[in-house]
Amino acid sequence: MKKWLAFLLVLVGILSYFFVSTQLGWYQRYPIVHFALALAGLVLLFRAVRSKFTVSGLLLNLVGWALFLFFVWFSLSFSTYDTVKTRYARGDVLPLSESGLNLLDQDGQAISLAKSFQGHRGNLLVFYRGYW
Amino acid sequence: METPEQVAPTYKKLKKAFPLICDAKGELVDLCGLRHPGAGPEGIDVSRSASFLLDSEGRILWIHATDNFRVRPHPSEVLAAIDKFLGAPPESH
Repeated sequence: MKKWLAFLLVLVGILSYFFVSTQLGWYQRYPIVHFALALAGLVLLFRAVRSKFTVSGLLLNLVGWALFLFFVWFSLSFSTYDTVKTRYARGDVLPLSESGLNLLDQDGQAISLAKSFQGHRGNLLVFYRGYW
Repeated sequence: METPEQVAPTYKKLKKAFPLICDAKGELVDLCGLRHPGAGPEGIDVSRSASFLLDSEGRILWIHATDNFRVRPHPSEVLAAIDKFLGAPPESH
């Protein structure tokens, strides 16, 4: 029973990142709380299998470590790219009208950002990676 | 950097809350220096995640850009930037 609870702690530590941290904006860059929870579960798993060896306990240890290492790789390496240096900085004006951008809206109609922005005090332009 | 056909499901999922702009060739992405070469499915180029708050003339008031695609500005962070740089909306009479 203890080993299953410990394994559950590993799962909660990892999965809670996606359901809690990304939603609330906490520890997104360095999910230390989630690392700590998962590691605590792994320690408990190790202690459980050391005090009473079972094949299922060993398998849970291996799976737990595999999940943890995958999570560390995903969060610290895979999802990291070069430092973003945007071409324009705060205070600059994006040359939207003179850039000749060929943009379409969601209906496939040509859209001019310069015209769309006119008349609005503020405009939020969000770039997302797409393909999901 | 998707086509209108590709963004259609996302637009529907978002309940048409705001317009989606299709930059299939990545022209706007390049203008802002956000292209991430080969990072998409099957090695296609995608955009790096970033958010810009602009005024009506396209002047940049606030930028959120990170070195990790998991990190996005929380809505409260965006609202705080709007409050800071645009202030309260003008009262309507």
